[in-house]
Amino acid sequence: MKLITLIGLDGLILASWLFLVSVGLTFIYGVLRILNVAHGSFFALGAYMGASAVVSYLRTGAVPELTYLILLGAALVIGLVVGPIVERVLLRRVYGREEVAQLLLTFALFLVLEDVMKLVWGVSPYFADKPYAFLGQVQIGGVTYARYPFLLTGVALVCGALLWWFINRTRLGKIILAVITDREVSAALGIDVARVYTFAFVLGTILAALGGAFVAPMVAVVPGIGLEVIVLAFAVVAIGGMGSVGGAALGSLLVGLTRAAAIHLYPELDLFAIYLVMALVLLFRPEGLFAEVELRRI
Amino acid sequence: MDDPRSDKTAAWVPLALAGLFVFVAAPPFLPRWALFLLTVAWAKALVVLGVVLLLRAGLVSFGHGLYFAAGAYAAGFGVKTLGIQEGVALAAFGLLAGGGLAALLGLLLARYRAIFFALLNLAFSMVLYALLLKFYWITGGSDGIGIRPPALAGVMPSPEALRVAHYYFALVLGSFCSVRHTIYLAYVLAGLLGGRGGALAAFAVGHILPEYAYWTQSGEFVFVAVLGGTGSVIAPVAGSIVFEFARNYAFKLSPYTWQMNLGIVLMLVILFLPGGLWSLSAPLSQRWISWRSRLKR
Amino acid sequence: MRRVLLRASVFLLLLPIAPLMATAQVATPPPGAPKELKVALVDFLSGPAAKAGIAAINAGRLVIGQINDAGGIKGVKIRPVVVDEAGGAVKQVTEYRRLALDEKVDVVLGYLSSADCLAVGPVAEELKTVTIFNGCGTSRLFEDASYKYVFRAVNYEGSENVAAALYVFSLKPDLRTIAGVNQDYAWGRDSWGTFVEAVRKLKSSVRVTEVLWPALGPVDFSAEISKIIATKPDVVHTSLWSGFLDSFVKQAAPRGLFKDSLAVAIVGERSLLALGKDVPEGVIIGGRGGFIPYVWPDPQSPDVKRFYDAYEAQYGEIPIADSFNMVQLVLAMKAAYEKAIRAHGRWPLKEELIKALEFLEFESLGTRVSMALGNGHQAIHPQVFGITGSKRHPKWGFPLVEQVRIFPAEKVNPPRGMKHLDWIRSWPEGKGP
Repeated sequence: MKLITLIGLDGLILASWLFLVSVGLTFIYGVLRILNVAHGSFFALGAYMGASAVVSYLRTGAVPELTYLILLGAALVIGLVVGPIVERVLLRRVYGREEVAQLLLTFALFLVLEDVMKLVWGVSPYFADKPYAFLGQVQIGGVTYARYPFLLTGVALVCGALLWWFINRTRLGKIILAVITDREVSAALGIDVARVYTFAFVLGTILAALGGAFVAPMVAVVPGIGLEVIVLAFAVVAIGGMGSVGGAALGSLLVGLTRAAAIHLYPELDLFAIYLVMALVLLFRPEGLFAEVELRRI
Repeated sequence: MDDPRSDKTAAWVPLALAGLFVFVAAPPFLPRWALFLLTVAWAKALVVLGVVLLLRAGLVSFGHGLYFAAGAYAAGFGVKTLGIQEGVALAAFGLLAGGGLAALLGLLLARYRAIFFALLNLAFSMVLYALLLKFYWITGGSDGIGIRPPALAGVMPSPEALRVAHYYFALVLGSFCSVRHTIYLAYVLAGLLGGRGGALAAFAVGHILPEYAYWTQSGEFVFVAVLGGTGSVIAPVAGSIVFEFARNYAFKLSPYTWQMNLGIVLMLVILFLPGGLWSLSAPLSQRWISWRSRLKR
Repeated sequence: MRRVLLRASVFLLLLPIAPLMATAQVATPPPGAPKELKVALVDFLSGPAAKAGIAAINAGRLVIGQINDAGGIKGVKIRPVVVDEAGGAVKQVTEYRRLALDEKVDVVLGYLSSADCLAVGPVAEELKTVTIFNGCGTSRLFEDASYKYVFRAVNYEGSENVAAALYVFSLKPDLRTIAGVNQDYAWGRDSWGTFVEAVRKLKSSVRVTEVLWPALGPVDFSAEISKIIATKPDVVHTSLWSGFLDSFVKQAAPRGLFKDSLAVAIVGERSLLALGKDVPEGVIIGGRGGFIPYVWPDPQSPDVKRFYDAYEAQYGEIPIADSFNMVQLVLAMKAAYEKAIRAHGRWPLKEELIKALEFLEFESLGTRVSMALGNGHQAIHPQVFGITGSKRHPKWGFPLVEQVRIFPAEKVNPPRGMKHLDWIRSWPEGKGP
């Protein structure tokens, strides 16, 4: 029983940040049909921005409660600055091109951003653990957990719910759905497809940066932090179904629980388990677990 | 994309032969480090050619490192556990490992298209990557397996001469391949080429690692394929050589920011040379055709 | 193709190349001396290990500058060529060939990753280039192979983990259970293997409760930590380092792992500086190559003090183990050249330099190093462990390491010609070396 609780909690924690990283990736793919390798860099940018913003904020001696808003703000800054530049200057030039060219362009961007981050933030680790330490700990089943990762779960839930509400219940969301369903017809109906694309890309970037910013308090923010994250996010969205928000949630949970179970039951399997799940799911349901229902609708 | 049967391609044959001649004649004039880079480039060009075959069939594989690694490890175990010291046999090992694995996985994968195909390949390559890391006692984990350059056709000359021999070996294997086929066949062929390329790279580098199967390696192959262009069999070779040298110089000239420089070069190619480097050859090709027709007249 | 190459090279050239040379003065070089000694410094400049790598390169440059200012090696100035170790072993083999054949460097110093060292070693032999490895800790290098041109001037995983086991028992003789958190690669696997072997030999009843191999990037250790704090082993061994260890400590400390169990971070030294005041009390700390800041080598010794001051003045922070290790490499090279010049009365040939390096004994910063193992190619020197206390460093804020034990080199290394695991197995049951 205790073991199941531990696997459940650890899986949930891992799933939470996996969802935050992968939901933006799947959203961008859903709208723009681009598999964005630079998503990992946006995650890292969010982490660096969040960490350095919190550090300089706390240096002013202000109250720690507001650091959570600082993290949110950092993610917004990255998304609103980097997102439009990348979409307008780079991606816009390759929309008509084959998928692989689009993907490789983001791969090149990933390489460039790796060094840009190094030039801006240096190579020393950044720590912004105040938001993490501030929430304290909680005892569950005789095991101490930090409260912060559960805040991450909350953030993930709120993000997912807001995104769902936005897409399905707002005017702009419906316009996005229309563009996904049929770009040409939407354009003919007077929808500014280019603006919808920019908007969707910026939103996806904000989500990636949000993942980075809220993971930052748990970790040492170091160069290369986006590299492992991106391939995990790929696994999650592939399992859940490319372009599906619900799928990203399900994929995150599956990957999170699988890894937690592997560590608790047979630690040798750790990394291996994740990719095995990915390969198996893809073999039996190549479009991912969720895609049949939602592939075209997000 | 050039049609291989068109007059334009026919016009290319003499030029290609001339190019091949340059490569055959080059070693005595090249510095040793450049020879090594060229050997690696030829070995990788084989893998890239496999990726190009798939691209021509409309498929992107984001896990071709799988076959690269399979070939390299097959050759590596050939040396390590079976004690084989014959390069031709080991290359055949690599070829069979890559081809065999592709024949098997191809049965599953040939049904898939587009992004699913790309991701499924990625998944399989990462499974192999994780396996290679996990079976530490057999594979040496992240430390990999070191192998000495094997003899070729029974001859074991000085290390330097052997390097040259390996260059020619890669050149010979690299120079004849191009076919049209079904997707399954393309996949198996791509696997064969990947495995053989892996074995050759293992000889040249002398060390085999799980990172051969890592996703960034697969990404590099796709990148070089697009860099070279899919228009011709020669394009992957050109792409591969340009890539190896560009990266080498990025390392040399800017050790602190080589990723950025490489990234920028890659970006420029994608944005401004949609057909890959191969498209640069079009004007050249035009000139050749007009020159030849003038001769005929 | 040309056009792109041209475009590419113009691009690359636009980026500023850091000025490498320091200027200095006179001394009559021995006969046959080259105009300058070209030395490659290789370590991580990008990726998660860049902090350690740049600290090493910085120190290398600094000490080379100091040597040049003092006239170089017998009047010959050293010119460093810096190379990024990131990108994997295949790329490193390519880079190494460029260094040896294109740049024609005289000596290569560096490499932090074990995979890189194992891959580069045979190439160094093939190209006959004198190479001195740095922090890569694998025991396979000289125990499973023999080299002529390849050396390692810093001790390896074996000495560190033997010392760690001895230190743990000196603090906790009633030890019953141990667990391990090590990265899933050679350094982690080898470290854990040596540690368990030594601990079991010292007390055969010790039980291993958990063996964890975190493989993901430095992000989430929740499950690993849960598993450990649920079983509360007496001792947790970890060879994690840099960003990985920092993140692990950040996540484990609030959850009480360091209160329930005695943690031993065999190369935790780098995290002292990074984490500063957040390093928990009561953690056993070792450092790569024996280095622990302000503890070992003796900070009061004039050379060491001068180096701390110069490093801080130049880079605004204090040096870490990687910095000291790189200095040790440079000093090994310098000592070997000087020894060979003394012996031959002229600038040495490559083979003479190798002879001088084999079994070389030299003064590193505040410590004596001898190339005693691996047929004269592997360095041994004292190994140091301590435990974090409640006092803080006044300037940098990290907890000072207390109850320091300095293990003499012979105490934590096998005798000549013996593999370290065989040596451990030959210890009398229940007794150390």
